[in-house]
Amino acid sequence: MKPAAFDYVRPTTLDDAIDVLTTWPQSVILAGGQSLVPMLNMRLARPSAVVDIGRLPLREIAQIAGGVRVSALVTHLQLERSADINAYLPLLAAAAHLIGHVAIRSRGTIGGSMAHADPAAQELAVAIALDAKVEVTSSMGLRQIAASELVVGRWTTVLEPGDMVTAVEFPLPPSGAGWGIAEFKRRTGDFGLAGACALLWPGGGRLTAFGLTSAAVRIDEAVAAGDPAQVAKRAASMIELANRRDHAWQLAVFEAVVEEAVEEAARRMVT
Amino acid sequence: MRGVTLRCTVNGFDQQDEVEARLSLADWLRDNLHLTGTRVGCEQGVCGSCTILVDGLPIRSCLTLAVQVDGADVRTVESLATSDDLHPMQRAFEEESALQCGFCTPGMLMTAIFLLENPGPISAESIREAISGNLCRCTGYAGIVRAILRAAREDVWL
Amino acid sequence: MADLHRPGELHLAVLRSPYPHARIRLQAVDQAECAAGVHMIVTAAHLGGARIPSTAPRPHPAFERGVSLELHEPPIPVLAQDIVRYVGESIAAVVADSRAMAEDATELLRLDVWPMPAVMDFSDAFGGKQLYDEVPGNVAASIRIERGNRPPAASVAHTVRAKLRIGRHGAVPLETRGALALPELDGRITLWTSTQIPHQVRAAITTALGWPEERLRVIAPAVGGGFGGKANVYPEEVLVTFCAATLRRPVRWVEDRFEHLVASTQSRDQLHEVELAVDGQGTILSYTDDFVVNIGASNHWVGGVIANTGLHALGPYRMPYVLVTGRAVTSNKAPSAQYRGAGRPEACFALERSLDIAAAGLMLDPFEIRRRNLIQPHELPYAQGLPQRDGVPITYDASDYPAILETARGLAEPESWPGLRDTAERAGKRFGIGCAAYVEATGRGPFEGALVKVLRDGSVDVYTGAASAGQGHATTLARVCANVLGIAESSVRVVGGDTDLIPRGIGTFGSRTAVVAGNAVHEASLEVRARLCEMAAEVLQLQRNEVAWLEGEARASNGQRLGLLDIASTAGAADHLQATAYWSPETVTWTMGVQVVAVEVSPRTGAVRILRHALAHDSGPSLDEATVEGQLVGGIAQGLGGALLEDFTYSDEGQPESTTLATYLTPNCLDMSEVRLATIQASASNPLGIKGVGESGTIATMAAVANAVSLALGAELNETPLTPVRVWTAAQSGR
Repeated sequence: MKPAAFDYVRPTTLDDAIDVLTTWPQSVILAGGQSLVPMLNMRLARPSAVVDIGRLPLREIAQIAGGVRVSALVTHLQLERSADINAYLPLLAAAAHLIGHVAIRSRGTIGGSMAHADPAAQELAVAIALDAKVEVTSSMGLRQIAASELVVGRWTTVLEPGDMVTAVEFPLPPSGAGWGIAEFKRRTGDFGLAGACALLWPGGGRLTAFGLTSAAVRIDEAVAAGDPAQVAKRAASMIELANRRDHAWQLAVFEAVVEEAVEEAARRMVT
Repeated sequence: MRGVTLRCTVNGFDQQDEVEARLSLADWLRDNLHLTGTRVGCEQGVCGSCTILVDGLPIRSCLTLAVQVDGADVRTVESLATSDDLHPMQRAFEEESALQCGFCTPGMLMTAIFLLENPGPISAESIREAISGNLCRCTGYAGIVRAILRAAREDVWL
Repeated sequence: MADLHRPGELHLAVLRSPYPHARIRLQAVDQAECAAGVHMIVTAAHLGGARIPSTAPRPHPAFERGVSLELHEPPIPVLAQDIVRYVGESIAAVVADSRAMAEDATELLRLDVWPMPAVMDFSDAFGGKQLYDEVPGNVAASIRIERGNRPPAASVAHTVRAKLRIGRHGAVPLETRGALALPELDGRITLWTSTQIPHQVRAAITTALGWPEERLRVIAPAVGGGFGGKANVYPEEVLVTFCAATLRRPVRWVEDRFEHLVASTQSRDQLHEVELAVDGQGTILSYTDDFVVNIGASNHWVGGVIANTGLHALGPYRMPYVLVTGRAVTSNKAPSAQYRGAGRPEACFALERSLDIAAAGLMLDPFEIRRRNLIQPHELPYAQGLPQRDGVPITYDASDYPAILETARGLAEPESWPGLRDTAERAGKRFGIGCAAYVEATGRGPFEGALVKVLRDGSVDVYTGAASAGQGHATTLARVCANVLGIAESSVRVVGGDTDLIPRGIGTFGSRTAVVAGNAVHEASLEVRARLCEMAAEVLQLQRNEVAWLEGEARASNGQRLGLLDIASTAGAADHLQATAYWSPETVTWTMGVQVVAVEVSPRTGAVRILRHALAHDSGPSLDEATVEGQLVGGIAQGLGGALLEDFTYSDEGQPESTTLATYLTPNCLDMSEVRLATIQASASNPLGIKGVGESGTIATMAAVANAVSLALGAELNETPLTPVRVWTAAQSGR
């Protein structure tokens, strides 16, 4: 279908953008468009106005104290290829690579991924895995929201009209931690049906489930269960499926991806 | 609807137009510029028929509003052949029977061009991964992989 | 199709039913007519309740008798009037200055709706709400095929009873449909449409609109894939034609993918209940197959789909007794049609799964049970005993079925299997081999035509009713002509799919073009060659029998020569140097093949990976090797889609769930493994000796894959697609 008509603005400063979003609460943000435009093309989204933030200076990857700050318009492809991300946050680079195909990754942005909050969003899952903070700018100023508190359900965040995600700050994982991420999908490039990312260090670890839950969720207690297979079993008992259809199979697949992610993390762990 | 000004370069030529904001880049290329090589197969970014290069990167032109490429450098399949000759990649496609109905071919070609323009080892494996985002309903992909491998090995086109 | 434009064109959008089954009344037409950019709105009333007539070739009376065929075809309205019977059904059309504006205007139309219970699945159809007055009990067609004698009970060592289900999937070409109707200055309309059957489209539209046939010219442009989905006549083709004639403006419609997945024809969706009785050696004693096809709201080819399924149910085996009963039922799913294979893959799935289950029961190797039952070379040509749809008793052509089986097995590298099994099992996976054999009717009639014409510049035009959608007619048919005339292929231009260039035609589907159009081109070319000699003889003032045609020129017994160009450029030559031939096959050409697949299955997730894939197919001599290979591998890719990925699903309320290419999954490059092909080249009995290959790759894929996965898991996978859920569930119950 062709989209329903909308007004269009393309602000060049962050202030202007926030102004427009505040004055037009029905407007939507257009970043990479890889989630918004498909909805426009089905007339599932029918905003009265679209605010194209593509001109805003939000394309930086910067080292900050204890972590890395990724501005909202950094694309998945940039994350995948960034020397800094590969050096300091390889889990994030790996997650970015899992997204769709290269023609999607070249446009889709990390800010968009956060705001769209698809249950299968890989970068959002990693943000939750790493206790990242999402910077949100509005007419009231700047605030930071823990990634885990940003999302409340499928495609639902705490963001209000007038809010814009402007950056995500990732703390570095504990030194020597191994990492792993695994997904199950029908074909390469599809949305993942079940996913897990794991961090392991001597004496501890973190596990994040995504894809089959309505939002990515941390289930760190499972890590203590023992070897990867045991961790996977424990993890499967801890999550709540968003959709109960074929639930036994979903949990079986989830176990398989958890095991894979934990095995990978164990291999990478520096003991 | 008020038109939005769009200025960009398409296949080396400067273009300027006033378009509805809701017009997709694919539709602008096809209907306004009559560059019908770029296809629309799904409007959801899945099939890959609309793949073109913008500022050197492959994108889904069906998921891009035309106005979003203001200021950008756009390359479509029409940039490949010269008035005398097919591009070596296109010749390879012909020689390896890489097309039947030809609908997916422009998207395949642009994806292949991007693959070869970027550093990295070229193998049947890396080619298959690279074109996994371009659906073909006719060929079963065998000829397409052969063609890209052949063009890569010939190295002539660089 | 979407590349074509005409200045001043208007754009059509369709209001489609959001309900699977409901009484409706359309409202707010006046409002929508006033919307920006709108030129006209068409409803069923404007068309006088016009229907699309079926133009499919009728089955022969001998066939109908032989299989007790009964038909009660559902009518196909152009636009729904009081009742809608599937989500996506066309209710009204809006013509506006742009597609976007036309869509905006359709949103102003309103429907008063009284929903009715939706009939979705087989169980709903029988005994459920009758959808059409014309289709009693929702049974649109039925057949009954019986041959031979039931075996004595004592001889039966093992009986397989199984229920097999082939999921609903379909053509889904990469190019969606589209149509552009142009009013000509002489009052005619030219309709460009993405179709496989231009002559049938012309006949159907002119009938629907009450026009003389000559008023409409139908041209198929380059078509981006058809596979049977475009071998139908669709409402939008009628609508753009009607609107162009009414408005005296070009009217254009391009289907979007959502419309395609929801309202273009779907296929397969069959349930087979089989009983296969074998003796202690695995020899088939009897086979019964009772099947049902869900044709959705309608089908242009109702007789065809159950006939094809029924006739192919016997496979390439000796069957002392066979009983096949089949029914086609209507439902509130989207309309259906033939799709690559058209009943053969479904029949093959049922039979080949049964054979594997029997083999497992008797602890026989799957190849061995087939060896013991395949019709032997000395038994071919084999009188199968049933009538084909053209009324002619079926005879399988000469071939060597056991050799084809061994070839396929060999191509799949059996020496590698133990190693592959080892590797799989060490990774916690399972390994299995599956094979499936099939016979295939190709090259069906009733006819196809070719007009071959030598032009003044010495080049040659070939016009035919065949319409290419990527099958390379420009190469293959040109080659047939070039071979006869001894000229370069590059000087032969093939133009298919234009009803003005050749008056009668049937179209491209059912693996028929190479055989039927090919032979028509051959015959017409022979006639043109004869005329070239005649003219040469005149010019050289010799007797006709003193001139022969060799290597593209006329050669006289006295040593004189006359080139094609010299003859063609003489005054008045053009009128003589053309010939039209309509070629009808005596009957279909029967061929055979075997597919072998090796798979690795994850019992943890249900994921299936193809490790080896081989096809040995008797394709006859190839008109073009690359084209044949392309058809076979492409056919396999679609077969794999049907085996593992593709599924048109509906919610319990009758809403389509497969509405984007993200939910209707077709194979991508990584889903295909390398296919090893062997084409056996036994000649058929038609003058060119060739056989059809368009559908061959698809026929046995679902069966071979299901057989391999079943063997790998020691379970029975009897339903396609073999989704991870289904495979995983089977793995839980297997060994």
